Amino acid sequence: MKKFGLLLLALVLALGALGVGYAAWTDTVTIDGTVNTGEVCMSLVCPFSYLDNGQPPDGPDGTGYLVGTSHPSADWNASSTGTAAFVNNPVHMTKNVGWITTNCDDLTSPIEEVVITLHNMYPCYYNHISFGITNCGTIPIKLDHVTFLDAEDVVLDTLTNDGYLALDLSKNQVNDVEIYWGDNFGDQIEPGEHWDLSFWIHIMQDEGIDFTQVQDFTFKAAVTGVQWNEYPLD
Amino acid sequence: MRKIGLLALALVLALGALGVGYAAWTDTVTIEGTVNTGTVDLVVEGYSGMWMWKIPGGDPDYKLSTNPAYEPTQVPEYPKPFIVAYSCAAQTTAGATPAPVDDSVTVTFNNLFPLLGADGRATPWEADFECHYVGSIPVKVMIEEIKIEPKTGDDDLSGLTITISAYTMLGESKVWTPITPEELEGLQIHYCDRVRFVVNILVPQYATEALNEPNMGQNGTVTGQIKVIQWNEYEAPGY
Repeated sequence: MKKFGLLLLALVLALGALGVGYAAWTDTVTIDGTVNTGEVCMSLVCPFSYLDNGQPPDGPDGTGYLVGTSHPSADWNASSTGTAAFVNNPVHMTKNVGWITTNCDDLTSPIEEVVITLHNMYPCYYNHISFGITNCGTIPIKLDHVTFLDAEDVVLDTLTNDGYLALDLSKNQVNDVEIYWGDNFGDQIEPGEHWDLSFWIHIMQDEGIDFTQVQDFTFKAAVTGVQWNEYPLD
Repeated sequence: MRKIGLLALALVLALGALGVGYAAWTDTVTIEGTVNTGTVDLVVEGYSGMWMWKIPGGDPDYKLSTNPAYEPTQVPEYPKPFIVAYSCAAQTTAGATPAPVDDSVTVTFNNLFPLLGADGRATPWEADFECHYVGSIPVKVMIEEIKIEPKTGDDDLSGLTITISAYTMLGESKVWTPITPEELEGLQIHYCDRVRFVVNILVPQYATEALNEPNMGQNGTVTGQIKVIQWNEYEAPGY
């Protein structure tokens, strides 16, 4: 019986050795490599510039607001409303009442959002706001559209071409602000280069219900660029 | 003395008779021949890829080329065209004086972004290489491994999809015929057949920036192995 067990063991070992002998003939091609993905990146460029940006000097009686005809810090007013507001030349006033500030000084690149505050606005106030956007990515991009949103990020309107729009920020069915976005749709910027963008803004006279004079209104303009070879987006 | 001579003569005759008695009838068949063993040998013979050219001022202002020698015509008064992104395969080299490494392919996928085909649908970046089967034993193709890493951490490439597809030129055929990944696994090839393997990386494109951004600016590696095995010992995956 012991001999029979030894015989079985020898058989198993022999079969195992036979199995090694059966390893098939093969040939293998090895693939190695690297992958890196590109980046679509836009950054706002500070500072912004404006047609009117002078903050009026403090004055107990408001006399400081009077700066004289064509003074560099004097306000500009639109001479009409609607698209004509941006066709006809604005009027250079004699007082410095409204002004604009940004939070640019607090930002570091890449800048995804700049807050522009229009102070002490009144009907007819007009300004031209200019700024830059740089391509901080590795892929050429084109300016596809600008979306205007309210403070709650609800989309109010979208521009895909140069054009005019009016916004009802007080939500009383009467427009408060009108804008003309001037340029650069479809233009492209290579990595490291930048666009100069601008828009005109005109404060309208909202005489709708529940409108009060002392209010804060917020809107956002989101500029969307797209990898150049997919412009325009569907 | 005479007696001794007779004895010697008798002995000689006896021995002679003995010799005749031992001579058997025989015939012989001789076997001669040669042995040579076969070969299993897949040779990489060609490399290609895709190059996305940006053509400032052109219409259209880009060109996706599969020809490494292609160079767009420069539009007057605009900057020179340049390659924005590319994917390609090349022979692996190693050593202080770089020398080719047998059966080894290096693929490079550089500055990838979502790519749309002519039909407007997402299409992958491709790095391809052509293999010539010069072995004498029929073999079947096995995709041992193809993967892209890392899939966690700062360089997370889990959003990208990597696959291997192929074109074949079998037998007397003179044209490349596309086959699906399913057809590629277990494909049988014979001496002189050709297979063009394509490493595909698909960069997805979503409707929102939040979903697209994780795939931007990522760096990683591709590794893979394509194996051929003598046809009679191939076992399909799962067996």
